[in-house]
Amino acid sequence: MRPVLVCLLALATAAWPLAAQTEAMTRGFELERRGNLNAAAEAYIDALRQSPDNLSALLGLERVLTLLHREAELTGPAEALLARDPSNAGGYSVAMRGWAAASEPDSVASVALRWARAEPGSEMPYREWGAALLGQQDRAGAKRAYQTGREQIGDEAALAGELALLAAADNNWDGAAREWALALGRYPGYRLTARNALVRSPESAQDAVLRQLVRSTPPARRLGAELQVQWGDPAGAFALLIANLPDQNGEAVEALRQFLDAARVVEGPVVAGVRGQALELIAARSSGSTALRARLEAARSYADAADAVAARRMLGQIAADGTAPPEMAAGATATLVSVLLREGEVEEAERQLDALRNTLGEADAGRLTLQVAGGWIHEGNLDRAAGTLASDSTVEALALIGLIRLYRGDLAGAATALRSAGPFAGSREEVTARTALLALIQPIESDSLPALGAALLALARGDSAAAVQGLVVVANGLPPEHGASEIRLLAGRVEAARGRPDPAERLFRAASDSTAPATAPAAELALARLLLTLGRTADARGQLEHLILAYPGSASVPEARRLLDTARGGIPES
Amino acid sequence: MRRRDFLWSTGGALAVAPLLSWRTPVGWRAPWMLIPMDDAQSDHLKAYGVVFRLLERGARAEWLLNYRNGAFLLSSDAVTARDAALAGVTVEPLDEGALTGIRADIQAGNMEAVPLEKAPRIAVYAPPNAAPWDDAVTMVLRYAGINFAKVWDPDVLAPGGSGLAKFDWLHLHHEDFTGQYSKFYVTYAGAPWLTEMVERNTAMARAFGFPNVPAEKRAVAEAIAAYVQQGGFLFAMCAATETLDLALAGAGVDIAAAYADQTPMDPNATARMDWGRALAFHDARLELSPTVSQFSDIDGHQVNAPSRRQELGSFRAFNFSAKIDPVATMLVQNHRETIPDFYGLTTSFRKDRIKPGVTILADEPGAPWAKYLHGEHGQGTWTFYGGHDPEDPQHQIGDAPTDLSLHPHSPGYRLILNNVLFPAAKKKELKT
Repeated sequence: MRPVLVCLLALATAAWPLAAQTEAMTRGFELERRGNLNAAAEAYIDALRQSPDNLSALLGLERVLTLLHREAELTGPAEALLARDPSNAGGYSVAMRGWAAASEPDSVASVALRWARAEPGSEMPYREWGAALLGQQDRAGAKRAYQTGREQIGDEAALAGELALLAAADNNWDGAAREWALALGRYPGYRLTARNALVRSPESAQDAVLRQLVRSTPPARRLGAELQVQWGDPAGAFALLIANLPDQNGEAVEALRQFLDAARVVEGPVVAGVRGQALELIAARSSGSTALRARLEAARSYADAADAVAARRMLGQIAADGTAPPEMAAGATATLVSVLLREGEVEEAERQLDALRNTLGEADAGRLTLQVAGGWIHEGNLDRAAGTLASDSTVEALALIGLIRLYRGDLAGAATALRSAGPFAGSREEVTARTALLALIQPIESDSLPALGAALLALARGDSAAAVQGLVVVANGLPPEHGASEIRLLAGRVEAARGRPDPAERLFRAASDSTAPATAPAAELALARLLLTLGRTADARGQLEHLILAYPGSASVPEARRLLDTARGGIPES
Repeated sequence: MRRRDFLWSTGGALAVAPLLSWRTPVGWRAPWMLIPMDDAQSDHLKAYGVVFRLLERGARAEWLLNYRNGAFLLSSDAVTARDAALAGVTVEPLDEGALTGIRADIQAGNMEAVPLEKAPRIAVYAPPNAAPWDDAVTMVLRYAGINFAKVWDPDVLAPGGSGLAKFDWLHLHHEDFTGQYSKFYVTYAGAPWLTEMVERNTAMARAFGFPNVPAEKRAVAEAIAAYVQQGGFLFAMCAATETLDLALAGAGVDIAAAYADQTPMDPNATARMDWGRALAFHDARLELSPTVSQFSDIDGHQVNAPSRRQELGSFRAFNFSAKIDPVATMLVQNHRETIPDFYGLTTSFRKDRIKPGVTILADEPGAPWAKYLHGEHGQGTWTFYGGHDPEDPQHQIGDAPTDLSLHPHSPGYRLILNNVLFPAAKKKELKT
């Protein structure tokens, strides 16, 4: 009996501190959860008193002391933990943060070096050392910590990522690129971080960054290509990428996809063409549905780049592939119709659409029908456009019918259709454009004005010179308050967009006729903007002042005030 | 409450009336114009510009303290009406009957009518280089259309104070008069703007024969204090408030880090400060670490010392007696009582570091710090306003400047503009 009792007593004696420690931890967590931080700190300190090597308690204490701005008090408990367990990495980290908060950089260094002795060859002690100093905004100290680590470890790539970030923060972009190139050699996963860091380098430093990366390893050169495409040189970037593609297919596809990811933020026909080439290369290195999807995406990119030949080549390869699923075939058809329309082959586009209509979903078919009708309008063939839409009763079709009527000079019919289409058809820009057209024709008393329709059709077809000529002739035949001012304002805007400021100014001034008070403020605002772009600030200010004083109730006044403030330097230019 | 040097009477204001003989054009027949400063106002900040330009043209106005949150009364004139319309400032026509009613209200309540007589000549102390931070005062002066000149060390150090003597009002923003480059020297080492700042200041110190930048900046601080002593109006924000006083109190003490003057800071500097020389503060403990971008414990918020940093709250301006204490009343005119706080290198002022006799114009209720202070020094006055940009509470170095057209009602910026018009107020002779 006695030995059993002794054993039970021994067990109870050993279990008591453990139970007390658990109780203190539970109390600490609960108090922390309730936001009673001071009491939580006391509970964690209790737990540490019972077991100085309790890292969970130390981390809990750090959490609450940080919120209380008392991190400096961590040094004692952290050092006690390290005295018991000199290999505890967490203990070293907390100790360093505590010493850093206490503004004791020498002690931070001492802890880091003790940790480094306990864990030779590891970057962690130096990484935490630098991070602790950075937490105190001591960048120079952090840099020294990382450099010490590099020397002690004896590896020129050690802590390269950390040094790269510091170099960038110091505007040393050349140095940042050099460090990132080193870091990529060690940790390829740093690529995205490196790209996001280096892409912010100022324009003046970009050449140096690229030079630094190009003279390094292939992964660094591929990073250079990703940066180059984001800095607006897609062709040069793609050439750099191709020259440094890995031989192995899987790795090459991964590199191409990373490049495409970088190119996603850039727009324009050149980058679209480059995107098409990259996708075509992916298709060539892939098989099955992956290859088909890449070809379809390549076709769309080529279409965006207005490279119809390449787009058709991709679509032809999809058509020749008997394994292509129906939805992909439909996607290819839609792309083909779009490509043909961009090439101006409206007849062929309509034929393809009619032939493949059954393979398309209703929404795709409707969208392409509208595109074909738009293609006919662009060709100037209003009858074919109307014929294409004959069986379409959607609001989108109604909006296009309104335009066709307008271009025919049927102002009353156009107004009815455009009003009916209302704000429901098309994008916001299209809705705004339709509203502007309604505003243009509303003051005109006549129901029919073919000359205006012809001028607007010329504008829609991109013949702005003929459009302006036609608009001016029409305006000269109308009173200012019944359409002439609105039409002159439109003609002025077209001339301004054509880079012809003198006729634009004349037209804006003519449109600023006070007998057309609904139009005059907008015309004066347009005139002021033009004068500002010409550097005639004093004239612009005079114009804006006139607008504000003459038409105080106009919706143009807030914008006029803003322009006036900008012109006199009252607010920063946006 | 101590009686101020500046007192006004409605009688003085009424005397202005005959001078305002202009007759209105068609559509503006009323003899008076009221610029309301309550929520009826469409652009509070530009309203100050309209009044300032009117004063520049030689006309006079009245500031109706506590009436519709500090409205302005002007005589009707075509130029001002046009100016207000262009600026988008709300103006209400007022006939004699209505004005009589307003004057009766002012007479009966905690209100006062203060004549504004002369547009003050304004100077902003700013280095010629472009620092990567903006200046709230410069921005709001530009936005309101108030003319100002820029001055820097050569103007301040001109013999006999002649450089500053031609200005009525001087603004200091974000300058570090301890000569330590806002203690960004370590954190931003290598940044081009800091390099330029160091080179420019070092060249200036050499040109004036000072051994280092801290010595030169201390001389600048002394010249500014002398300007106030001789009757100037000083308005300072952000770090300029705290460092001006540290430079003044630190005469003969090395309070600058080694990177600034090649010698380490005096470890006993705190004990050796002569606070009798300072304008606003006393008994502060200096920040000894060269890597912490704080100067002392005057600032309650310590934004750049993570272990001491305090969260932002809101501050409230005090309600002063307009008839007894019109100066303080003028400086706190606003359409909002509670204003969201905003950080600066110096955000606030610990009350236990403020000298007795300094007027606290605004503080954070329940907090041990004040936000907005006013005091006298010799013949002049000074106002300190903590923080950097009232509409950018977390302003970071390199941030884009604030577009004030998006904040035309900013109550924080209004406090700045109260200071700009304050020197325009008529000064009444002291009673004997």
